[in-house]
Amino acid sequence: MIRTSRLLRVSRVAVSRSRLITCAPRSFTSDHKPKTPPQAPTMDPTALRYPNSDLSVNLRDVAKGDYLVPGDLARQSPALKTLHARLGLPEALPLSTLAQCLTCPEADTVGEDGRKLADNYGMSVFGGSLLKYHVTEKFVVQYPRLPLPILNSLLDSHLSLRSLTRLAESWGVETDRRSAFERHMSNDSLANTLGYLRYKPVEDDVSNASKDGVFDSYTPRSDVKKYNQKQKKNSQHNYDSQVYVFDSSAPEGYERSAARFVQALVAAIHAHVSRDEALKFIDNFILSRAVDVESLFSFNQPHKEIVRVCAREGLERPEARLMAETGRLSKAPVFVVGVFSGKHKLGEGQGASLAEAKIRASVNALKGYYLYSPIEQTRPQEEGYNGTFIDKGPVVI
Amino acid sequence: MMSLLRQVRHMSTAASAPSGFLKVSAEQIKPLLLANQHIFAKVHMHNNAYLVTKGDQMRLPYRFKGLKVGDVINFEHVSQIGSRDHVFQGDKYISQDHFNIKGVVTALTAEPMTTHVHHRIKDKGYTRTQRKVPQTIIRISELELKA
Amino acid sequence: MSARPAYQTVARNLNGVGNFVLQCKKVTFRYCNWGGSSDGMRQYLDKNLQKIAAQNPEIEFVAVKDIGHPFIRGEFVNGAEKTICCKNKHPRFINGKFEMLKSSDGAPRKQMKSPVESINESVRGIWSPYHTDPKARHKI
Repeated sequence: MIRTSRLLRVSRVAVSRSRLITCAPRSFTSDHKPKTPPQAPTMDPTALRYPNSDLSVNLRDVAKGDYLVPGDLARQSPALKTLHARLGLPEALPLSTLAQCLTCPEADTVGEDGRKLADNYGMSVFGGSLLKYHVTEKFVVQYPRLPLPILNSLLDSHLSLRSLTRLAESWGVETDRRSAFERHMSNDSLANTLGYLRYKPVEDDVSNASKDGVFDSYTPRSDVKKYNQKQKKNSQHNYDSQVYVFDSSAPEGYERSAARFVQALVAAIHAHVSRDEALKFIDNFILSRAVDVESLFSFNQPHKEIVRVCAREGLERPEARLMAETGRLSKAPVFVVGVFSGKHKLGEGQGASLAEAKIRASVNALKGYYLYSPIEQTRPQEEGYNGTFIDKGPVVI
Repeated sequence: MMSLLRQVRHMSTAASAPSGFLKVSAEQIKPLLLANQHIFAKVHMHNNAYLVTKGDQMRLPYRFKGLKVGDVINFEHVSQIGSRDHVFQGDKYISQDHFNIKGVVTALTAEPMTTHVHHRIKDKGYTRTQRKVPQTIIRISELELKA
Repeated sequence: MSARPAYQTVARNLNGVGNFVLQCKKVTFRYCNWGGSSDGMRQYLDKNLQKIAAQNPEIEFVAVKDIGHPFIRGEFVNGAEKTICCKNKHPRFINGKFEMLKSSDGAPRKQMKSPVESINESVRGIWSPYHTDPKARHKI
């Protein structure tokens, strides 16, 4: 609780005694730095362990009074137990925490004594940060020269709401969109309703729920299939990744909630087991997924860019040279062009016209530069970390 | 003029008889290690060779006795490991000290039922046989070259 | 402007590369107390249900009593469903079908076109006629 009156008193005092002080400019010294380093506020360890108890009076943001499902009740839920076993979660992670991870904030839930069930908001915030840090660390070490927008796109492909939703779906997480009243009227025991992802559905969700039924596993493949087919015809790459333009008809609430579940699970493992175990979980489930990094690139003026890159690196000015050609005056010519810096070939491309081949060659040269990956890849958290390759930064055209 | 030839060097010692497990020194393996694990391997199962990279899914038209879903297979018989420019050719096989290739059995299913129609000569009739070929689906979970 | 992202992608799950997730998540046994066709199913459930439920903690087991012929139904992570009628079948058959559901991944059955399916591009690269020795190249 903020004691507003005291604050006001302090500010009034400050105002009345302030005056302009002109002082002579002084040379830089470290005298102004505090002698002792600033101490973190000491927290009562018991209060941290039992956030719902009376000891948590000093902690402002802990949700007091939310009902955490007791262990024996959680053990009666088949959905919870099977989810726990299917993911191979460590035994130290209790089922009641898993039930908490599946409950999103603002979900209409009622515990045994009428209180609201504890939700995963705090855990998802922490877990999300841990995820983002760990995944970013891996990619910055793996592709040190990757331009920032591409790096962000790569991170999004692993950590965006949709990506985490697909991950949760691949674990067999089902949703329960009923309101608390509907659940009460259906005479389901509390144990049976645990183990399903519960969240507050947005308007689209409500209309969908009435159509599909109650316990349905959300399969949005209908909107994906159409886009997939279209993409395959036109795209150069035969890489069968799921490409999305964000579909406004897909319910927003569901994706945010499923992503929250994944983030909260990471935090739960961190809390109950150890940091290493949480990072291993991220390695196994999120970093084991596949993305074609090469297909994420899109260049506006590739030849100009490779010229700037070479100038910065101190290489000879790159020029495009025709390496091979056939059928120049025919209907289907092929030109093979290489981008050379002196005698070194930086990249090569082929096309139906000289211009196209030159562009492809420049693009391939740039990809070769940006997708550099060192052989020794030790992340800062690992033992034997000896520093990372640090990029010079983006190139300005 | 720039040569358009790609140098593909085969590193092997052809002196000894085949069906051995070849082991070479770290110096000889070095060009392959520089490929940064962007490599393929030719694994052998039941005398069949399959060229795989990491993350591939193998659909094999047979079952293995005692194998269950989720089991981890440690590939021992590997005859080739290669990158874009270099191929390590084993003396039939490569010693296990040089690589770590593991697969996980993800499913044990079968192909859809097909009818094989055997026509006798000169319209003398036919016999129909139904067959359902079993399938073992293995995902290559690890594929790395070690020094 | 320098390199920009082309589009938004979603990373592709490769079950087995990191951790393996069993694809069969729920198995439902339907039986009837009156019908003779459910005899085998009833015997099977009496003897085996607890045992297989203990052996397979990742799968949710449901035994439903309903009028009609018995069946065994498997539900998979990708939303697919496989129902097998077990009328007048003996427990060995039912066990076989359970093992089949457990080892399946819910994908529709398909013929093998080539033994290895890969999402990676080829390591050695595709042969190009323009990268051969100019003396050996095909001349029209």
